Amino acid sequence: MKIKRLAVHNFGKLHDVTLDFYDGINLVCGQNESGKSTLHAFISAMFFGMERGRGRAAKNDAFTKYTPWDGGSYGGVIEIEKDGRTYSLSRNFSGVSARCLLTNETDSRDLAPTKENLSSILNGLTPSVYQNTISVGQLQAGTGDELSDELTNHIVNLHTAGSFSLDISGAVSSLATEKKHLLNAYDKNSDNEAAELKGRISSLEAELDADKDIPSLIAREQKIRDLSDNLKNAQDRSTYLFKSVSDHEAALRLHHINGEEDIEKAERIIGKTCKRAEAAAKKDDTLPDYSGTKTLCIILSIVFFIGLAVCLFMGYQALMRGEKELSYLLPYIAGAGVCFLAFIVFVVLAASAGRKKNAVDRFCKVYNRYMGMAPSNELYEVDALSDIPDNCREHFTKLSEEKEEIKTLSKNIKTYQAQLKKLDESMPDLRRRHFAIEQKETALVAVRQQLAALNPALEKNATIKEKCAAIDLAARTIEDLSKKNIESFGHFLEEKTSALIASMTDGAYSGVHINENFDVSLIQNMRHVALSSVSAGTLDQVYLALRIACIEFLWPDEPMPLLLDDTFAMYDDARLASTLDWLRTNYFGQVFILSCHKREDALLSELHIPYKRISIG
Amino acid sequence: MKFLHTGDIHFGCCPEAGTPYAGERREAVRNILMKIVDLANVEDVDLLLIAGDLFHQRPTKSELKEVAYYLSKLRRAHVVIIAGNHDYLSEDSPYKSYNFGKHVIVLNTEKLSRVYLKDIDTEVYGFSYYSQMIKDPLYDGFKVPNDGRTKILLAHGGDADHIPISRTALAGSGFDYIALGHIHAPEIIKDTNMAYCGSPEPIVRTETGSHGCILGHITDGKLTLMWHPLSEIQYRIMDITPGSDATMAAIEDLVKSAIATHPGDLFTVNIVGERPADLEIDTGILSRIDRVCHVSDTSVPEYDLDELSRNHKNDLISLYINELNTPDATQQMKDALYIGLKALLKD
Repeated sequence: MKIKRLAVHNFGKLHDVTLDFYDGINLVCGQNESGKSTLHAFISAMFFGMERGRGRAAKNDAFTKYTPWDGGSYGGVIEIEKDGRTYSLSRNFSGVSARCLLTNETDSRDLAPTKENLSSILNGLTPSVYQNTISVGQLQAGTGDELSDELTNHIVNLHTAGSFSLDISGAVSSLATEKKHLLNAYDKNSDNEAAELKGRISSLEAELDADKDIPSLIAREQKIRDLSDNLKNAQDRSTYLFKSVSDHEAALRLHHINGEEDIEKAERIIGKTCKRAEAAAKKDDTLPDYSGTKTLCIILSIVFFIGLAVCLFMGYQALMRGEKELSYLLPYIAGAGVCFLAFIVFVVLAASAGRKKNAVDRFCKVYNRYMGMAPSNELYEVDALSDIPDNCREHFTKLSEEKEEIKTLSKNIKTYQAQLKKLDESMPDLRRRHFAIEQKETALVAVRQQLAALNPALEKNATIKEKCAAIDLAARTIEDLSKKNIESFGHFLEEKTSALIASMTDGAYSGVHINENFDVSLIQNMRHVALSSVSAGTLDQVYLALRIACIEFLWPDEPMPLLLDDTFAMYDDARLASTLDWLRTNYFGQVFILSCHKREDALLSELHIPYKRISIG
Repeated sequence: MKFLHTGDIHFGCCPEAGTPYAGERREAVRNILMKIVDLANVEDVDLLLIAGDLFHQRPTKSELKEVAYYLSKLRRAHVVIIAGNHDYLSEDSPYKSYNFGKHVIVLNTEKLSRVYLKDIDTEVYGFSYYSQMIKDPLYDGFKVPNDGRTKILLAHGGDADHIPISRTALAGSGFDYIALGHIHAPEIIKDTNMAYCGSPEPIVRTETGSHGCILGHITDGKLTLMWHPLSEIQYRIMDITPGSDATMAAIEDLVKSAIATHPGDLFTVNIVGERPADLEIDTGILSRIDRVCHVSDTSVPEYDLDELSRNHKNDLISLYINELNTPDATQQMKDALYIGLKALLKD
């Protein structure tokens, strides 16, 4: 970057001044008060602009200080060469007509005078960097401690922020402020509440998980239902069996059977009776059967027997009387014969009539005994009677079977009852436990809903956390980088300044040492020499060397103009000569020496150093 | 045979918890079942299919009672329900054995079972979840014989953790209709006889678009389906990329005018892309607009990083950009990059 030309319209005491500059050393000479410092201020104002202050502060600010003495357009033009292109920057500071124009003269193109464009043309130069590097004035302080303090301050300024055109600590603190603002919006209560709710959820879940071992209520209820059904069935069966048993017993009692032996006896009797009854029925089933018949037959047989006896007695008497006449005896014989026949007939009739009745009576008697009632139609109830032994046997078999079953059933019933009792007793507790599970599930749902309701707040918190983490990372990165940068800067500065000082002082000082607090000391014969004990000229040299080192650090690839405003006032001639010579060989940028002394002019000529002499005032 | 296919009702769900819309959303989810029942009555359907997740979580007795009440309002439709991964059954769950009424059948087995509805000569197949997750593709390999009866499969799942479903395989299983549930975005699957009914009332803000249920008709084995919107609201997402002259007020107006064109709907506003470096997004302003339920800002300031690097090649900014603007930068690094640049470039 080079400054090719300045055209001052009106600036302080300067009025309509145009200066063209040379690529090498430009010596701007003028008497005191000729306007050299005004020119210096003009360059700064052209680079960075100038604003009118407000209120009381405006009284002493640069704007007021350089308001044109003779009026007219307040401002001017500066032509800068950068990367082979010429730009002209024209500024007018006066109130209403204030403006700034930037033109790419090489391409005849107007550019917007934006911060970016200007920064690009000025190589990122900012007022503070400008003040601390390429613009070098005479140290303001007198001598000694104050001077070295000022130097230290300068270095500190350089390294902390100014040198990088960035307000590192300002950036870091603005990040901290932003984080604080964010954290103000952080809802810690929601976080706490969510943590508590999550705790409750996990403990409820753990409890419910443990509750999984609790037996199923529905299965238990089903089991009870099944058992009750079984019990009821068993009881019903048992009741039935008891009745059946008593029926069997009643039947046996009815049949007058008390034991197995009775059955055999009954079977014999019944068999015989039935046989006879059947035989009787078969033999004569047409004969009227009523009790009078038999009696009548007996009477008639007796009558006929008497008739027979009478006939025989009368016949005998007749015979005895000697009646030999057959015709006389024949009626007696015939009567006896008839009576005899009738007697036989009636005896047979009487005998047969009695047998049937006997059989029937016997049947009825047996029937009545074993059936407990009279037969309705005795002869036809034979089958019923003859079934009785088998029936009774069956009753006996059933009886014993059923009695056995009753025994088993009552055992089962007892078991069921015991089981049921146990289950029933366990039910209230199980119900209670299931009720507790339900309560826990309901509570879990409620807690989950509460947690869900916190979600928006938690999401917001999460966003804040993320953003804070990003802010932390940004701040950390900025600090780390600037620390790294400062370290490398400190190291570079020491090395570069040492080399510069050694060559400027022709080896009188072998270098400088800059410690971590940026305290500078000179090294002479391997010894540290405190700045406070060296001459003002040497201090100025250290100051210049530091600045040049900074310039090389900041613009390693691009020569920058160096403005030396009365910098050499404290130098003796020898030191000035060696410094000028050093500048010629070691500094590749433009050099502007603003001076009121003739010494520089003379020395430059004497040393045959090419330069351009520019007079003002 | 006319049917109505729904599912994923998530009865008892409380969407938008912690926001001003929590109350209305909870009620909308409660009311949707009544709307479905009303629709079934108006359309005079024979069959109401509920393809899982009727409840948002395993239902309590009182929730069962309420749902039973709604279902009792059906004039004549049969109801067949399966339990999904949200309301999964267990031996002890009251849902399993709950008596919803004679017209309601819960296919509550863990293995495939079916119910035959004589009056409409229809068989409905299905089974219920007994855990929150089923990774086995249980619907693969289903085949039903063609015996003249109408055959419907009620199925729930279709992602890796909830019964992965091979659509082509299932489509050829011989059912007249496959009523799918679990995926909340409704979808009538093209060229098949399958459809996801989706959640009839959307339950999270990402469930955008129309929500409702499916009305279907099977005559002589021929299936016709009709989408029927039913939800109280729709969720909408607005992605806004602020232009170079955007201001917060302009963005606010943009959101408000979009809301005005869809009254009642709820909006998610995402600020995305690059925004002018001097525009600060105040998500608070946007989230306080009525009917905006969520605001996110993933926009980044519109810095030309290359140019910034060039202009600041000798100072910390270029180093800072190099440090954080790496190809494998995390989101936090990206955020930090812009936050730090803003701080460094501050006047």
